[in-house]
Amino acid sequence: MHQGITRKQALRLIGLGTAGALAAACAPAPTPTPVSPPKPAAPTPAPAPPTAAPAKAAEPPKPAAAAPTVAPTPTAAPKPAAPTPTAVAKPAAKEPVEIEATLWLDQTTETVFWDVTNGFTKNYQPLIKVKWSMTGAQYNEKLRTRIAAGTPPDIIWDGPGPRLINNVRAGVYVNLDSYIKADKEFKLSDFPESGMKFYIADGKVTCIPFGWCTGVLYSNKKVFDEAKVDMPTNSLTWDQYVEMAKALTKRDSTGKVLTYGVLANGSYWPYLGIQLGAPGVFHDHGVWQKPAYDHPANIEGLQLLQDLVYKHKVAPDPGALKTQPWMAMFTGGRLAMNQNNIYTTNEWLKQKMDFFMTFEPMLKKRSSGYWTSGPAISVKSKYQDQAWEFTKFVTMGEGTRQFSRAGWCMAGVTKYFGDFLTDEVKKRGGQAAIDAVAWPDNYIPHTGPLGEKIASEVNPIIDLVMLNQKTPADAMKEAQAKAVKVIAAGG
Amino acid sequence: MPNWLGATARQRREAIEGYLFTGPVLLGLVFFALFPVVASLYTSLNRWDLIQPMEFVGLKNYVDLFDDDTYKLTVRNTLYFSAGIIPLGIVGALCLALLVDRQRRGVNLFRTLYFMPVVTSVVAVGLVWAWLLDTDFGLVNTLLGQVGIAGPKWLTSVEWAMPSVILITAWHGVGYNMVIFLAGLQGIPDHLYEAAQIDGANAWQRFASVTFPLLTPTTFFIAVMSVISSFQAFGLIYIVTMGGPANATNVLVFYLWQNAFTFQGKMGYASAMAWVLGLAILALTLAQMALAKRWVFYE
Repeated sequence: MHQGITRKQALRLIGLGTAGALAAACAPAPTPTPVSPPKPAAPTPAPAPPTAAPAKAAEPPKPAAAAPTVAPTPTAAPKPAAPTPTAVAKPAAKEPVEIEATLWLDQTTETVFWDVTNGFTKNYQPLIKVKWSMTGAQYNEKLRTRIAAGTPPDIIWDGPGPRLINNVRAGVYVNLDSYIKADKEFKLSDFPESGMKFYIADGKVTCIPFGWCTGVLYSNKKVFDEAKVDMPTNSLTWDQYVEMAKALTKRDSTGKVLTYGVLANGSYWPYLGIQLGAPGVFHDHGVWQKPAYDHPANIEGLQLLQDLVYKHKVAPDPGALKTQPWMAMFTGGRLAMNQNNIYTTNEWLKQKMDFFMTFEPMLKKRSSGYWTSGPAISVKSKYQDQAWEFTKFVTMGEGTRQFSRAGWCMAGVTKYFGDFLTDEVKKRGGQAAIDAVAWPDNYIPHTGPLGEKIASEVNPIIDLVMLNQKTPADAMKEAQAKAVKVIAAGG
Repeated sequence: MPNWLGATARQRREAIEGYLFTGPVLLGLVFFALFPVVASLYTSLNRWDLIQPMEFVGLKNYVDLFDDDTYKLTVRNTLYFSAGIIPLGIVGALCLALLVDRQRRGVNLFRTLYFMPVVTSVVAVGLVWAWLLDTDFGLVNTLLGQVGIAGPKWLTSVEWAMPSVILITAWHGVGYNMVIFLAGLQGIPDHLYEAAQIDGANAWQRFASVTFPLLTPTTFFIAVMSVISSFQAFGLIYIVTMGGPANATNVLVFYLWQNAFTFQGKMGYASAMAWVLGLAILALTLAQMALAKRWVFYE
């Protein structure tokens, strides 16, 4: 009995297989498939979308002014911007569509994002279904590859920084100005101008924040109770903060630290520098100023961080954080306090931990981070109008309020800032996050197209400080020289 | 019947069949190897972030390499890594191969154990070793502490990070070289050992005068492959240290990847780095082949 296949049959199979593979490879990319019409919305009345006064066409704020105390140096002229296609507002969806939105989170844990999109479809736009593609790690790489392939998602999450500016200049995002002007519901003036200015890249609004994060000091109440230390107040000074951290740091009989008082995040030094009077490091959105790494206040800010680890021994060194994520240390009672943006409130609430929020410890002046991210619409999207509807929902509608109530941020528009204060957050001192809006500052040290290159040169130097192998003064001198060199070379 | 090319119908059919059999591989080679190589050469002459159109800059990307302090640092780190991993990988593998060469009870179990890291995912290896070498809670420092030694910060100090990465890489890859050495050892005829023994050679003399000379072709192969792979180190460094601390373990391919994908797409610059690296590896391989005539013995 003949078994197996003959050579002729094998060749036929190979030929057919190859032809099939080539046909598949050469076929046009699949177009987004309309989804089946969703079930009718629940009989309960949908919450009314935010109303707005008849729209006075909102002009985008001018690009942020240069930092006041640094003198401009001659830099390579920025390349002329690629024209950003201007979208024309059209009627909302007439037939069911599915649009894709992407961001850098882990889709297995961030359930609130799915709740928001489900609520959008169910209660507001039954014909628009939004599907998240959350990349987890390597967002930049995956996103750039998809843009290069000509198949970007309809909605791309972005925020102040090099990626936003690069993508605007490359014409990746829709210029939203015409949408904003044509849409009576949407008023740019509802958003805090002090934060919105970070979103204006080359004079265009292409990305709108889904909320705002100020910086606060989080305290683990259980650790304080066990150590019998009073909780911090809004008038906490830096010296008091250090003393408190000493009282909270617990060691075993061999001297090994069981609980650290505070976290000394090496990337936090520009925050401290500003509070000590530095003009920041950069804030330019593309037009480079003289870097200010070696400003005395920045050196002092970095020194404060280094001292927490090596002088006062109340904060873990980078080695201790390598395998022990600080968030787990905080929720697990191995870290008493940490300064952070309020998006982490969401995590503490999820973990059901007993925490408290206050102003960050006071240095020479009050200052607070003011940062977040939000949707931009791809020019390649076939569903730009639908993407705009979703953009509105998550920036000034019910979506942003949902994020805010979940502890992700304060809402995008000022009038809903109070939504952050759920009962749970209010009793934990959440008002501090809202009050901190009063002194917004730019805490983003590496914006602009050269930013990542400078960061790559400077961050290893900061690492050496946090490893106690370099003094802050030497490090900042070196960082300044590196930054100047990168700028002079144009990247 | 022969046709005008002198081939019979059968020969022609066989030729066509041959091309069909090799066709898929050749197509793969052209599209997935040759084309990327040529494309990367062209890319290296351009400024390109993957999104905007390429901008021709000639040899600027190559010239810029000489003025890039981080690149120079990664070259030094790569040489440091190679200087550590190549001897360790070769000597370690040879020792293991000698240990498991003879048929003794349980030898197959040990061969399997030594080879297991090779087939273990690099991610798993990296994560487990990161925990083992944790400064405060790692098993290694705990054991050292029990004998009164304060273990170093293996992966988080500038001095120890690279030696640690070298050790982990050696542990991960030594089994592969061991198998190749084992094949070489088992190819040495027994009668040569018997003759040496009759001449009164002791174990060391038998190794030095019989085993090692006859293993030189195997050693040469492993040395060439080790140089190439050490210059291309990436996976474990990505998982264990991300090039840190303070660039202490940032090697050429890691920096190349950073430029291509994390610095807003300096694809042209990264391609130039890749070409310089490729040419350096080619030069080293040719040098090794030229030197091989002096120390590699073929039976």
